[in-house]
Amino acid sequence: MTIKRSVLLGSAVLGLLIAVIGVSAFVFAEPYHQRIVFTFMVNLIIVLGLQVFMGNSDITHFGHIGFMGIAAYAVAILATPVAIKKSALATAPFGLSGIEFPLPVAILGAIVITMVVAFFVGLVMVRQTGVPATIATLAFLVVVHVILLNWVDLTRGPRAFYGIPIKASLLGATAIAVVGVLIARLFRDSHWGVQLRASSEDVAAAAAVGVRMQRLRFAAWMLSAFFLAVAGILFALFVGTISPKSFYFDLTFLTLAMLIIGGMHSVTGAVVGSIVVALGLEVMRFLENGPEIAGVELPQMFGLTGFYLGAVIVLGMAFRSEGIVGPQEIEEWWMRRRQKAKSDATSDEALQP
Amino acid sequence: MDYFLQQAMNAFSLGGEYALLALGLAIVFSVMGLVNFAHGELITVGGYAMFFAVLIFGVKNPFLILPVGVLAAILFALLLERVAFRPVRAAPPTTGMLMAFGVSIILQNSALLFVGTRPKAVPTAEWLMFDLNFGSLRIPVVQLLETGITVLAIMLLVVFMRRTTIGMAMRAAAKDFSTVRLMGIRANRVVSTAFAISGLLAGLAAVFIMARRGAVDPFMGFTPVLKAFVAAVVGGFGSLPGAVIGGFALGIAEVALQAALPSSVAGFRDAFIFSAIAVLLLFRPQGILGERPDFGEKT
Amino acid sequence: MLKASSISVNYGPIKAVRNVNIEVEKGDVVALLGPNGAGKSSLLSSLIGLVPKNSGNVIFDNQEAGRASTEDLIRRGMSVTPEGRRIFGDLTVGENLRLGAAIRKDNDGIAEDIEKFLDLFPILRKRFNSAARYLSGGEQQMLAISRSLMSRPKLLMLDEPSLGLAPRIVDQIFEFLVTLRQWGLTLLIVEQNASEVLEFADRAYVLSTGSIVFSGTANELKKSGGVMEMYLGLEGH
Repeated sequence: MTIKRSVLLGSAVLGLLIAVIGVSAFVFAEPYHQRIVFTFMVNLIIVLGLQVFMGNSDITHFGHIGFMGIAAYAVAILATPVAIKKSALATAPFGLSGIEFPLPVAILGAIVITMVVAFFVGLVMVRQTGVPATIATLAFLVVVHVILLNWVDLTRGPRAFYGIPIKASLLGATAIAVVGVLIARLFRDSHWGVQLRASSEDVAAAAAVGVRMQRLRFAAWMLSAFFLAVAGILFALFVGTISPKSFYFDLTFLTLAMLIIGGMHSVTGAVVGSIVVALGLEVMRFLENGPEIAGVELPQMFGLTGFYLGAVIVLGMAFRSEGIVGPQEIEEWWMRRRQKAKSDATSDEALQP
Repeated sequence: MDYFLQQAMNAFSLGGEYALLALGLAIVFSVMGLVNFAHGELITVGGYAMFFAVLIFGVKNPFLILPVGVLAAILFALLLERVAFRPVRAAPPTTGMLMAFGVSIILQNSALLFVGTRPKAVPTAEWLMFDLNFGSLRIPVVQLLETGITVLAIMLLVVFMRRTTIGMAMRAAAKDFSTVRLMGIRANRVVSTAFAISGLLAGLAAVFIMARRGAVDPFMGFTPVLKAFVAAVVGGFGSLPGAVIGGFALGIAEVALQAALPSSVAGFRDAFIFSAIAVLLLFRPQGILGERPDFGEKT
Repeated sequence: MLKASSISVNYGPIKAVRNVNIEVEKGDVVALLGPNGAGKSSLLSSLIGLVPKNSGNVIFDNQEAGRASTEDLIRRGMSVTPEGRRIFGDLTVGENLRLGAAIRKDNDGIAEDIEKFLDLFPILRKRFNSAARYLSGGEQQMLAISRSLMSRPKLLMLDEPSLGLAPRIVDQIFEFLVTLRQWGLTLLIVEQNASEVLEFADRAYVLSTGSIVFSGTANELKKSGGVMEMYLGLEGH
């Protein structure tokens, strides 16, 4: 597979941006803010995973967080020290309360488990598009949530699962996010990605030309699940305590909003959307708590963050339905402007009708 | 036998609720192609309207409170259409769906911001709290009413769609909107009517949900509409009879499973149902009554 | 009845209709002919307001059409039988006809008109309560034309009424159109099938790649060999 230089260039630019954010937070920020940036990195990885599937196959995906939840709980169950599991997870099946795996094994195990689930779900999922597919992904999210909530022996149900070793670091998350951007770009511009995008626009034509849409969609689905698994593992290994409600509709809406607002058809859109939404959200969170500004005490406005999210989506759909960035990647923007400058400088008599 | 009848009543009244909501979604989708994620907020608005009627206007008479809820839902649906959805009517379906999604988040959080996080109680009329006794059966009046009104509403809707010009126009618009305009029928009227009907159905459902819950909170519309969506898609998204069938099927499945499952796995009830739905959709995406769109046809 | 001047319709950079002038007198039958892709349907769509005009204005029934919406124009007395018939497949024959009369309120008059069309087309009476999609192509066309007449329009525009129909059915359709003319209706007929239409049209326009290449009486057109051959693939007299 030939890798275009422009793709590498574009990824590098985005990667640099992300690296700057991560590294400066690591160096300059207080632990509280470092946590926020870490969460941002995790969200970014989620959004990238979402972009890989939604942006290339044009199917709205509501189930991505389900994979995150599976991976988070998997790594939690596998890696948490036996000492903790003996009391917290005393009745776990398969004797899991008595085993503890070294971290790399636990991580690998979590990824494998998630990918296996993704494989079987994906086999049937890729047969469909449009509203039925979207509702099916929604059903998947609900099913995962219900299982996490009710398989108390394995997950502690609605109660927090604590004691997960805290091994993830801000720099590590940043590095993974940067690599994630590269992978997402490479997929998008690989012949799978290009074929998938083109055929999603015109399903009939694609079938006539023999493009195997289901296979392509399946590839995107699996890659997307992989991103979400990584995000889930990172999350669990950073916060140390998880519960099923972290992996349900709130995070689903947040990450969907980030992607839509940035522009779901490009990786640049995913990145930009995540940054814009995250920034806005922090501002809103600050205001929500009723801070004192210039001596004036603002009231507590619970719901402001959610309001902001909804407002940005609505404004986005009303005015820029392709997202802030739109379907073009960053290097394509830059090259187009160079082209325009060139053609402005020369005459355009060739364009007369 | 009594137990069975009791559960049957449960199933029908719950199914009726889902059917009303699913029907509202299906009507808007069939006429406009819009997946209205904000439909649940119509329920919430209906609930808050009832709350304010009691609180601010001191309305005590339940025969007044209930229509207030329904009316509020209808008006709000029309408002939503005019303000939020008309501007994106020409946009691709995903844009409209995401717009509805954004609107619903705004509405939920507006309620949080402006009314408050705590659920607000709305007293239900005492006479609704009675159980009727048929021999050894005890059936809550609410359930009977719910089932009855649902059936009545559906029948009236059928008559409306068959006999009135605008109803026929809505049926025609589901497949060919522009030719409906060639009949001189205003597009806006067709769309507004569809929304108004969906508001009416949501308002009716809201009344019954409120009767059961006794309180309104900003997120109360979320779970019902989620289930309604799933029901509508299972029945065949865009198909009106399909929505009704899907709604009742879901209600029956929920109650049946709840009763049949041993208590150790009862919590997984929704997982079973949703898994079954996912499988159904993936092998029969058009749902029970939907039609597979031929290429080139409006989906 | 209808006077359209300097009409242009562009779809982005594509100029579908270029500066076209058309006039239809009351009681006339005017044919709008031309090969495929000439812009005839675009012109019609712009006259009825389904497609925006880039320039030009339309005077209908001595009133400026301006930016009137499709629905307004229909209420003013225009009616269109669209290309491909576009009957409402899921609705019954009866419901299709009733929708055609949507702008009217006189229920008795509507019932009368429906009877009239059922007399003219017995097959419609037979299938009155079955879904329109079960009708054959020719039957659907009869339904479509009847439906567009239910509003008692002053001007009926037909877009390719013979498209996709067997020759015998086409004859039937055109017989019916002649009847319409006897009823005093003003007709504007867009057609690829020039020979049939020219038999009973008064005037004709020929459109080619968006511009009018002929404007005159039907007889003049029939005699002008060049135009007939080049644009319509027919031999002139």
